[in-house]
Amino acid sequence: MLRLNCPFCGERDHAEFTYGEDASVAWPDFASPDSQAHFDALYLRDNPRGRHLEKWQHIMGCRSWLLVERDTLTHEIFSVRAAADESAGLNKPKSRRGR
Amino acid sequence: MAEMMARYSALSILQQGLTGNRGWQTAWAKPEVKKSYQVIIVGGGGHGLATAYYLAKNHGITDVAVLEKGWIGGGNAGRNTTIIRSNYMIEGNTGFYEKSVQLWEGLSAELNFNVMFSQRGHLSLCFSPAQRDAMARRYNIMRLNGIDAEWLDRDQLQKFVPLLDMQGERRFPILGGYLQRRAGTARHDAVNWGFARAASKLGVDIIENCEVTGFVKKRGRIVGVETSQGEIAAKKVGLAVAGSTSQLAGLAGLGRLPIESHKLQAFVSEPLKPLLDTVVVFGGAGHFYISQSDKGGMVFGGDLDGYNSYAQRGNLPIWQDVSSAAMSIMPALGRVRVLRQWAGIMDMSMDGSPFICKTGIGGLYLNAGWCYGGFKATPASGWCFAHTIAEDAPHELNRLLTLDRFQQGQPIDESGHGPWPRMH
Amino acid sequence: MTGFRLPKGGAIDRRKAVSFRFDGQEMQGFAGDTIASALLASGNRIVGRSFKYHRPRGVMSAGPEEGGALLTLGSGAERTANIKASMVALEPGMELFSQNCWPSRHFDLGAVNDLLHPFIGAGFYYKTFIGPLADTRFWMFCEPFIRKAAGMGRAANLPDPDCYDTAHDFCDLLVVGAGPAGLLAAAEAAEKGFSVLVAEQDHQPGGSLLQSGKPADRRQVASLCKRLDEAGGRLLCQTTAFGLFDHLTTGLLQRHAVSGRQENQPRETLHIIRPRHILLASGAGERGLVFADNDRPGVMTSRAVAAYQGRFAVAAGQQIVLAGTHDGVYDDALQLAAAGLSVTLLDSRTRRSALSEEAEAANIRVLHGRVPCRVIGRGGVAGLETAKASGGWPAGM
Repeated sequence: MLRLNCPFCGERDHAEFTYGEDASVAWPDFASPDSQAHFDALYLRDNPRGRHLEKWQHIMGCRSWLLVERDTLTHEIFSVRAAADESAGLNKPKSRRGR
Repeated sequence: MAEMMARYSALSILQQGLTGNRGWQTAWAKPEVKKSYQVIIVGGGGHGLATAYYLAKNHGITDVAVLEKGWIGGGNAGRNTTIIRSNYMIEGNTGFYEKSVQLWEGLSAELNFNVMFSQRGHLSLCFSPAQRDAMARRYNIMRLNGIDAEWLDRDQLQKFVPLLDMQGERRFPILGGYLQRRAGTARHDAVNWGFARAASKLGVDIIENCEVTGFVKKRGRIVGVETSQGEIAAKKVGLAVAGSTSQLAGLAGLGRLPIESHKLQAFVSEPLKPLLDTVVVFGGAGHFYISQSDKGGMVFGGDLDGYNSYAQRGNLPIWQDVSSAAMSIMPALGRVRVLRQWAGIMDMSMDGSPFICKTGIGGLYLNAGWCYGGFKATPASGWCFAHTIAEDAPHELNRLLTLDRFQQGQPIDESGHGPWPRMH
Repeated sequence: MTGFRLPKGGAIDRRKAVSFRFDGQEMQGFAGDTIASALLASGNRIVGRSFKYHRPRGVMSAGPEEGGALLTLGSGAERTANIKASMVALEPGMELFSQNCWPSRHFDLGAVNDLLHPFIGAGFYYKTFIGPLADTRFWMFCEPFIRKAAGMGRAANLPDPDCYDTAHDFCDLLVVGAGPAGLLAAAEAAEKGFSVLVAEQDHQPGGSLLQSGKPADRRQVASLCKRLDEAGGRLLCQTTAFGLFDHLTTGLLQRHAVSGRQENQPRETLHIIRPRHILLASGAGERGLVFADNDRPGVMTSRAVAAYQGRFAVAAGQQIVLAGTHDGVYDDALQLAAAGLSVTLLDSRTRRSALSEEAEAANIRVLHGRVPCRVIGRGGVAGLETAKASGGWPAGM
């Protein structure tokens, strides 16, 4: 069981969360005409064997979206922070896409 | 005489048994790796070994090396739940998987190795009228494609699978099930070793403990690989390393791929006298599939853990999930104990379907994206990948299984989930 | 060599006789016995058959490494296959059955496989069943016979009538194993204020302290348990730590006794523990030595023979040969000799041990530089061939 330290609720089992996706994906603005950028964001992944920045939602708790840095081989968790706290440096959320 | 000794048969077992079993040859040769080959296959799993065999058998290309970083069959080829079926419905998948079943049917004779393909049937249970409708579409497409498919009603189902508890009020009431009789299971080690032995006999070099660490290019074309056993030149290189595809692709300069790695757990129980003679799948509200191996263990599994992972081990929530689904339809399993639990790394693609194709790099060919359906595809994957490499062009059966199908707007999405790898 | 109950000693309660049936035959043990100790005490040599060759099997150990005494418990919907007799406490009314043998465990037609062994070695099925047809028909014709021969016990084919529970828990320290090390560590940690949970897969705590048979050792167990309890620590017996998952999450499976269980109480409880720290104090398992026919009923690990005498007051046989590679085997020999059993000790080392003199003084016949070579006997041990450890001609005993 992965244990995720939700900044609002404390350390919880990963089964309380829904896994989102790779948080490092560079999503273009929804209205952008750059179809290659849209394609890359939708279909291509780094898929690292190692450190991975990813999104989890605490659906059975505070329902916040969290950014988790986790090693995909050892499952060591390096950091957990609220996605809402991210400002520059992180990619804009997709609009009108389902979670 | 030596040739007869080298062939497996009841007679050879008798003769060897009477003379102290000293005459058996090693199943495949372990040569020193050469400095160059015509074709290098990276990955000594079922697909890589099958590809090498068919390169030699179908195309007369024997100057082939299979490079395996560990021991052959130690990756996903040795970790799956051994189910074989061809109940696919989207073009691109349908003919391919059916070809695979047909190859399975003659594989033991072809390889002179009993792969233990047991055509005991594959049964998908239905729990609601809507599910029955959705599956009817799939199974009617099978019939239109000349593939065997039938519906079993409740009575027929209970007779076919006595272990299913269908009495009284159920949490998940069973309406019936769709059956593909020609489907079933095989022994995973047997198909790995069978292909290795047959390929080795035809002259293929199987090199274990040889990890590919880089690629050698000349004017943008692949001309060899760097490995833990030195540099090896090759005219053509095929990647068959599902589980590690992104890493190898990155080394080769293929860039990012439409693949995410997820782990899939599997479980086996203590060995029991025969309890279940077919493959049962619970899809829909739960996700659970089970069969019984010839050694007596119940082999079962369910969903992915659900987050990117390369750890070949799983966590409890899926184990509980799978067990709950099992208990809801086969409550007799409550007193059966799990003996072992493990996981493999799945190449989850963006549409749930695989890739057997050329790449944008000359001399480099890709076999990947098998999600959790790679085992059944072993023979056809080898067949098609060998063709693609030998002819530098896809076979008719893998023509649509390309890397660029997403760019073309042609995903092969059986489950209809869209580009969410973990949902396929 | 047949087992029997010793008149004195053991941690069993001789005031509480426990009746059970094995293959339909009425037998008796005492409260505190495991199924294995009760079977040994009742003189059972053959308790089952091996998986493939159907060789006779007896009790081989006193712990989870048991490979011989795999039995079926109960019948109908409550039938449970493949239980390890050494790991299950004896309870009144238990119905036990041997497995993988027909018509009986003493006379099993499956033993013909043993005669056929040159032809059915490991993986033989890869080398045959291939022809004569180029498809799967011949293999599928043969498969049901193979499947019937394979498997050990027969599982129930009726819905499991019992209920099960899941418990979630947290602690500072999870200790796996309530032997002397685990209990002491747990007690000390609890007294220092840690929240402590101890998981012990045996039905009694104490581990190796139970095996010596000494009342002083049993008192020490009781004292450590009292310290743990008074400091707020918890002890779960019949609880196996079966899995270590990510971030130290641990799965424990607790088995509940049948006697005294109410109707809606669970048969087993799954505990999912999230400890801050884990201490593995599960002890050491003994490995058997390698020699021909070392799987015959009556061949056991040395520690197991001592444990059966010390903990359950069961002699595995009247004449005992212990073979070992280190001083530990002398402790076992001295313990058994003190209980009045005839013991011969094969020490594989050519040099005399510091304990050799004490052993000889206790009437133990000590042979230095000797190793077991081959067991004589089929349904039990009738004799043992030995050899010089440096390599030499076998000399019968």
